[in-house]
Amino acid sequence: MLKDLICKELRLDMHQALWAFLLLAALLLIPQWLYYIAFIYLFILVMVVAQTDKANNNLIFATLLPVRKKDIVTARTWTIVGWELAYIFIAAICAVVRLRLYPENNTASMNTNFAFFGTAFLMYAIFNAIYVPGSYKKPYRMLWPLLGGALISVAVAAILNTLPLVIPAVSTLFNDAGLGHLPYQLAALAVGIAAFACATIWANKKAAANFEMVDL
Amino acid sequence: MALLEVRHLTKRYQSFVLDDVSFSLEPGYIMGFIGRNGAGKTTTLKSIMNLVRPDSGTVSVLGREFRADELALKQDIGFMLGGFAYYPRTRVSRLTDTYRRFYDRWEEKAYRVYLAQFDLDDTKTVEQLSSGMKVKYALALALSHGARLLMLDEPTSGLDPVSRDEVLDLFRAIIEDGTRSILFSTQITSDLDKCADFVTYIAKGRLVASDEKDDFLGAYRIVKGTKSEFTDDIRTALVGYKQTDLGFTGLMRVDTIPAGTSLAVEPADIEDIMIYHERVDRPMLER
Repeated sequence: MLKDLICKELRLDMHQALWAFLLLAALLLIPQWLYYIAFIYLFILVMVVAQTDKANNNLIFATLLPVRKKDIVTARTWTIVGWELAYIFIAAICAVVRLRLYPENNTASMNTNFAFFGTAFLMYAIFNAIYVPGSYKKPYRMLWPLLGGALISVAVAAILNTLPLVIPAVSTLFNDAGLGHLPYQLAALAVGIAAFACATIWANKKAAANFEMVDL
Repeated sequence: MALLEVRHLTKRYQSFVLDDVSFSLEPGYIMGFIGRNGAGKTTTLKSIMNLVRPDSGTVSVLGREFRADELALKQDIGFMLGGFAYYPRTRVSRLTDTYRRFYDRWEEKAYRVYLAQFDLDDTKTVEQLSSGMKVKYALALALSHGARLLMLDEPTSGLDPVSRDEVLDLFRAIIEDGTRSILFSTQITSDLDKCADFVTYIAKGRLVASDEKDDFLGAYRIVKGTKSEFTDDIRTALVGYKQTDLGFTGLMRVDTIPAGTSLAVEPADIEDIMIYHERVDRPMLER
C-alpha cells in the first residue's frame, strides 16, 4: 500500500521535470561559498509539489483510495526524505569532486567535510519537524509551515556554519578541509543523522495524528 | 442486507449542523439525494466516506461497520465528489495506471470495454474531458474495480440535457443486475423523475424524508384556494405556501387535507415538495 502511494507521489504529484531540482546540489562545486545555502533549494521543490497538490485536489483523491490516512502522510514524508537523502548524496559527491579540484580552505563558511554534512542533516531535521506536521493541520496548509521550517533551519545552519570562523577551537576540531580530526567530524555527522532520523519519525507521527483530525 | 445503512449521522460545525440523518439503500436501486444548496448533502456524503469526521452516528456498507473495516470496504465503493476534479492536467491513462494499483479486483479487460463503450479517449488529459465524459470516466473506474456502491455528488450538474439523459440511462444499466446501487445527490429534480427508485430529502441539515419515490410523491398534494379559504387551520396544515392577490397555493401532507374540502387538490412533483418545504412566505422585493 505504501509502495503504491509512493508510486502515486512520484507519478502524479511530482512533475518529472522537478527531478532537475536535485541537480542544484552541484552548487557544492563552487570553490568558495556559504555551502549550506545550496540545501535551501530543496525547500522550493517541496513548495512546488505542495502547491500542485492543491490544484490536483490530491488530498481528497488520496483519502478516497483504499488506504489509511496515516499512510498518505507517511508516503509524503518518505518522498520528502527521499529527496533530501538524494540531495545530500549528490552534494556529497560534488563535495569530494570539489575537494580534488580546489583543496584549499573555504574562507566564506564551513568546509564541505563530514561535520558540514552533519549540519545539513540537522537542517533537514528541523525543516521536517516543522513543515511535515504543520502542513497536515489544515487541508492544503503550506505557506507558514514551509516558511517556518525553511527560515529556522537556515538560521540554525547559518549559526553552525559560522561558528568555526569565530571560535578557533571549533574550527580546529570540526572544520578541517580534509579528514583531519576525523572522529570529531564523524561525531558531528552522527549527531546530524540521529537528529534527522528522530525528527522525521516524530514529524511523521505528529502529521498523521494531525491529518486524522482534519475534515476535508 | 442493505448495501448502505446510515444511522443517526451527526456533524456539528459552528454555523451548520447535520442532525441525526438516517437512511438505507438496498442492492439494485438508485437513490436520489436532494436538498437545496447548503442543506448538507455533500457533508453527508463526505461523512459517510470519513472525509469528514462525524460527531456521532454509524455507517455500514455491506453490513459491516465502515470505520472498522474502511480499507476493505473502500474496495467496494466508487465515489465522485462534485465532478471528477482531480489531476486536471494528467493524462487519463497515467491516472488510471496509478489508480488501479490500489484495487485488488481491478479488471483491466473490463476497463478497456468501458472506455470503448463510453467513447473515452485515455490519451486526453482529465481537463480535456467534457463534464459528461468525466462522469463516465469516474463510473468506468468504479465499475472496473468491482464497486457495488456508487456514491456521486451532483454528477449531472453542468451537463447538457443529452449527456444528462445518457448518464441517467447508464445509472439504470449499472444497477440492472441487482448487485449494485447508486446514491447520487442532485438539484435537478427531473433526474429523479427519470431514474430514482428512492428519494432522500434533506433540509437545513435534517432529514425530511427517505422513501420510495412513489410513496414520497404520494405523501403530498398541492392545494389551491381563494383568499377566504385561507383560514388559520389551513395555514397551519400547509407545509409551505405562496399567497397571491387571488388566493393561495401550497403544499399539504395527504393525511392533513380536510375531508370533503372545497380546495383544489393536485398531485405534487418533487420540485413542488422541495420548494414548499423550503419556502418562507415573504415579499420578494421590499419597497
